[in-house]
Amino acid sequence: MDGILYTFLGPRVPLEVRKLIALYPNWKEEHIDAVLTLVLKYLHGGPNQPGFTQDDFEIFASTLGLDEDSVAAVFTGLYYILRSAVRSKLKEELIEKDLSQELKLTPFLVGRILTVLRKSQTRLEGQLLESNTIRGGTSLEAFKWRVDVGVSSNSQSRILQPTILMEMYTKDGEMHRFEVDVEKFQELRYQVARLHRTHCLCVWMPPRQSILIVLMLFATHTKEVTPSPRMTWYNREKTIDVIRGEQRGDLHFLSIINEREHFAS
Amino acid sequence: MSVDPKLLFAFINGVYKGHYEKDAEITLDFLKEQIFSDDDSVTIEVLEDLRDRVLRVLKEAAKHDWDLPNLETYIQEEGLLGKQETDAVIKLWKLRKNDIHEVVYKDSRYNNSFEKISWRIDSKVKTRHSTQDYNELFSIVELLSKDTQGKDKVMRFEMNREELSGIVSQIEQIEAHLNSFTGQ
Repeated sequence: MDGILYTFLGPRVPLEVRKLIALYPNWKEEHIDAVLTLVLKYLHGGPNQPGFTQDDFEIFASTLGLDEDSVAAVFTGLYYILRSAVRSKLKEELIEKDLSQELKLTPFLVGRILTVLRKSQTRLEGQLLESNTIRGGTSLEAFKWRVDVGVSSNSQSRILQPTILMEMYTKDGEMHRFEVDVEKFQELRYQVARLHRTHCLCVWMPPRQSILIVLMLFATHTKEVTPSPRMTWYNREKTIDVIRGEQRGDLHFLSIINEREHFAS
Repeated sequence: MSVDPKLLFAFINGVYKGHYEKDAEITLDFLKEQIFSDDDSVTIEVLEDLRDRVLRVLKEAAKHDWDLPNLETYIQEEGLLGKQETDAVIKLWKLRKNDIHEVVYKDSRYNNSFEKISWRIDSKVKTRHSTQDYNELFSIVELLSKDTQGKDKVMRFEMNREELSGIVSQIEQIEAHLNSFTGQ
């Protein structure tokens, strides 16, 4: 088990899973079920949900009549297996083969793990993707607007000029309200239309070209790249003059930067 | 006040810049020093009186959105300005009417005002948390607005293609309303 063993867990079996394999054969099936249920709850709700403090864990271990360290080890091992299985997106048969033939888990545990995956895989995949999406900012919750026409004020007896009052609510709970005059609205409209057109254009990016650009970007150590003739297909939008690659955390990004104006990520 | 018409217009233009363009450096002392430093008969008190009369005329003109004949009639009826001063104010009004109108209009707005939009499209290519490659595009949008004190406020958010399409359709609706108002 110490050598290289290619499974959905990676080239080596993680220490956490090895601990699980050493401990769980002495456990009752209902105890394994209880821990598996707890792992699934953890995967769905994350570490900040109620029931996952140190005290909660002690109480849980004592109700099973087991020592806390063993419960923690089995919990962690099962967590690793479930999370890796969800990430791998492998077919059930391949996961079953790895669990039973490579890791040599008992048919009971293999059956339980596969049942959990069958029921929760889609939801867990969505949650993992959402929780690990590094975003440049929050996303938009709501967009409200109103067109006003000013009639008169103390300094102007006759205004009769329309303005747009916009309210934007972001998912982090912030609200931004601002007024847009007609001239600025036209600028906003133009930029949003251009963004939309560029966004739609990029959706049809051929995969081979994407890979080429990724390679070029990584080769330049994430510095700005002057578009070369090989990238002209990508430059149909005249305003796109810089394509930049960057790495934020574990994510690799391709960026199309509007008129060399960009903001710190 | 009888002075060189060019100097008089320079003073009235300075009054405009100080009041409407809110250029804090253009004070009466500054104008006196720059324009009338050689003329001892033009005191600060004289300039203050002229400034007040000019601003009174300009405020009335801006309030009623007058054209030149209306402005001239008002000055004559009220007897606020001499011939030279009237000519200088009319010249200024001819040049700056739209700017003054814009400033007055902006001064009567009490909400933050939109200044600028910047955007970027990112493509997420790979993540540690999935062995699968995927090519998800999202737009990062930054909106800059100014509050009534002139302080910048930045709002940044992300949109996927569907969210962006939603915003585009909202903007088309706004444009339709604006067009119906302006009769286009």
